[in-house]
Amino acid sequence: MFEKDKEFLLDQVDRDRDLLVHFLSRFVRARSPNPPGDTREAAACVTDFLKERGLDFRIVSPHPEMPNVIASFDCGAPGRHLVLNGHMDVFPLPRLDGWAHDPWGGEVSEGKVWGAGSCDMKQGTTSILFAYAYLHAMRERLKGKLTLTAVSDEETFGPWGARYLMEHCPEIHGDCCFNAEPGAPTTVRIGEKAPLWITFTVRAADAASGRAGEKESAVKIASRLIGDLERIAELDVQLPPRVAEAIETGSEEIDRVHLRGAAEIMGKFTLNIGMFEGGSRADMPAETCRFEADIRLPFGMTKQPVFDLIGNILKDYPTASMEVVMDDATPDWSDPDHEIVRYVQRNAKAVAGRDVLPIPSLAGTDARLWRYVGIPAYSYGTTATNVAMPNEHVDIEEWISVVKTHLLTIYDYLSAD
Amino acid sequence: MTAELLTAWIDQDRDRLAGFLADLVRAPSPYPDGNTSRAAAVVSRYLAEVGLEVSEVGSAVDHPNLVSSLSMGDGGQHIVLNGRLETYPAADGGKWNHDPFGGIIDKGDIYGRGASDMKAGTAALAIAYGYLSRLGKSLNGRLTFTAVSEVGTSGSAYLLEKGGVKGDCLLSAEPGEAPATIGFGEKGSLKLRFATRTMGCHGAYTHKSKSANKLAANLIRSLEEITKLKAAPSGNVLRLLEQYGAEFDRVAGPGASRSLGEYTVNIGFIQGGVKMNMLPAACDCDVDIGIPIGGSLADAMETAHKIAARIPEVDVSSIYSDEPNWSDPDYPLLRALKDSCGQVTGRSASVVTTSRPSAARHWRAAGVPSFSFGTTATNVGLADERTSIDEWVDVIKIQALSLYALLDRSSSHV
Repeated sequence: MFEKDKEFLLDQVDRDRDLLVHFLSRFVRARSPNPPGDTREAAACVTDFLKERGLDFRIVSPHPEMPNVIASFDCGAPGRHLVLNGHMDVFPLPRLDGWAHDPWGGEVSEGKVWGAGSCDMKQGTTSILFAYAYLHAMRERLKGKLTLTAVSDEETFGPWGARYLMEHCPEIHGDCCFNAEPGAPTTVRIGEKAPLWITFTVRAADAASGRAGEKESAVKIASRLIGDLERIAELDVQLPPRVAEAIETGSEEIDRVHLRGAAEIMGKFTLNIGMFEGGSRADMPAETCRFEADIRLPFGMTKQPVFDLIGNILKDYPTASMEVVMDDATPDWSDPDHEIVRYVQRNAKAVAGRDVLPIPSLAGTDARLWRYVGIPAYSYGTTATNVAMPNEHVDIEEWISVVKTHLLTIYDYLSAD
Repeated sequence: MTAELLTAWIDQDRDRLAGFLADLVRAPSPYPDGNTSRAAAVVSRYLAEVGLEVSEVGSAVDHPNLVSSLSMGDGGQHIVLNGRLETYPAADGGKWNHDPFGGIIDKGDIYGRGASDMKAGTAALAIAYGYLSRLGKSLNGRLTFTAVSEVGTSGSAYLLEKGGVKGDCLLSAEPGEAPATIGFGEKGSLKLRFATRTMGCHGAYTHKSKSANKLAANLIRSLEEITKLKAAPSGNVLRLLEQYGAEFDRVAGPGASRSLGEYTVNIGFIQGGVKMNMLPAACDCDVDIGIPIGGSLADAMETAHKIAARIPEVDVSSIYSDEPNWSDPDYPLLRALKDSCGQVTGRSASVVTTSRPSAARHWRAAGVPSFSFGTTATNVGLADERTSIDEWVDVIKIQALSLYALLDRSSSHV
């Protein structure tokens, strides 16, 4: 019976291939860069789809421009509750030049769907949305409960999306979370490094010359401070053995998918200076300068060594101050031997002949929020191509194979005893 | 006798004169994003009140140049007075203790954008010009007052090329870096934009792309090497820098004279990245390199390019450039300013270079010896820009006495 069901599900995906592409293209055109994070048009794509199929849903919108869509159904027999998670907001454009395709056009060409958010992660959200609808149609034959969450405010780890739902809607916690963020179809991600976000503000200081009233530009001081902060990347790390093993085993694949060096920084602290701004014109000393530090904590480590180091560095910068934007993330991971991992491995092999390795992830996803409350959470998706870069796209052939893998994996989870 | 008369007039009119300066500060003229029409109208009105005709000469819409000229007879020199109407923008609005356009006088200081740079100087020149006109018969030569809008090439450059205003020498009133300083030259300026471009990517993938922001920070740290360049002033300028260096140190604090002969690097503007968790693909940085007398643009340019060339992702473009320039330190106007300063304040004036480029460079380039004497620059371009009224009144007196000394029929100055 299972094999027949699976064949039927795969046939539906093949039959709906154009529909899937068409939906994704329209979803990309419903631009939703965050900031500012307005996802109303994108959410309408999701709710229109659900309405057309007669599927119930509700909107939880603590912020008027950032709705979250929740849909849920009970299966024919009791069982476990699986929660699907995807987001509808996308990164803003990194730069306006360099795009060969309209970043908001949702263009379909060369076997790809192009545009900002096409990969991260409107394709993933589309995939679990369709999976939800297909499985709803055969719910009587399944066990447990399936919940779909299509959320806002992920790209900034903001308060109005999954964070709000986890706190105020405990019914979406479930027994396991399956997230569709892009990464690589050869890896299932079991955990992620934790972002630690700090904003630094530097004021101009009296110049070393000692000349009355002469100031040293705040930008100059900030540039020295940034140089010193690069020492964060050299902090000692003790990785937990399970994670170290997963990185070791997957290192070749990690480097192949995310370019050389990716496996190495999995086990390190990293520092990104996201924004850097100050002053107004060349000949006026910049009075203040502000920059943002996006630090990622590796597995097994806390924020403490980072704060200790920064505290020491700041002693040399009397006109610099810092404001912690977010420091509540921890580098959590879920059991690499969980059944979801096995289902993904089995189905990826069956659908596309792929071997899948459980590895940790560099980038953050909302899956972490389920791990924080003790629920195992896994991410599986297409190759992350040009995310936050010009010419972001998703390869349709690969995507369809991932849609199928998602679908069969969810089916397996809701069929298991 | 006449000198005493001039100072008596100025003391007597003190409140009315301060009122004129306050009115001028109340007429905003920020540049960019503003115009100088209202400020020009305030100056024109003052000159009309003291019976002087003024005409508008210029080519820029909303940025007039004012010119008023008095011919006192054959012989003697033609001295041009050069004021400026536009100011820095009034940024940092929240930090001002007094409305930047309120023209408020508090504890003897007048506050506002332009109160120091250089509405005080422009008003002082207009006032000195007005009093000199009262002495018409006892003077010879010619006196031309100008108040220009230095916008592109439509200010002093326009007056020199198309406005028929040149003269034998020029007196400006730019604020000085310390009290009682006579500007005889200017550091040069090289303004560069450094554009850093990388691929950029997601902020967690720091191995994937170089960071435009980190490269820019690295570049900025390296640009300090420019301050190590050596300037090589020659002849009487070197002698002058040595002579007044000690004096400048005494007036403005130990080490101050080094600013006269050193290359400086100001990082004025930076803008990089889009968002906290995106690795930045672009960062733009504007830098102003000050070039001392005896230094050269070419040296600064070469070093800046050499530093930038170490980072292939950095592209350099020039926004603005000006060679350092100076006038003969033995010129009569400079001597007259020194003498008058001693007479009015009892202190001797120092002869210095200014670090901010001013319109005087245009006149020097045209072969006109140019000197500047103004109040102390206080918070120029910053919040609570201001000028001491006492010091300002002294500056008016010193300017008036110096002009009188040069234009007096019985004077030995030529």
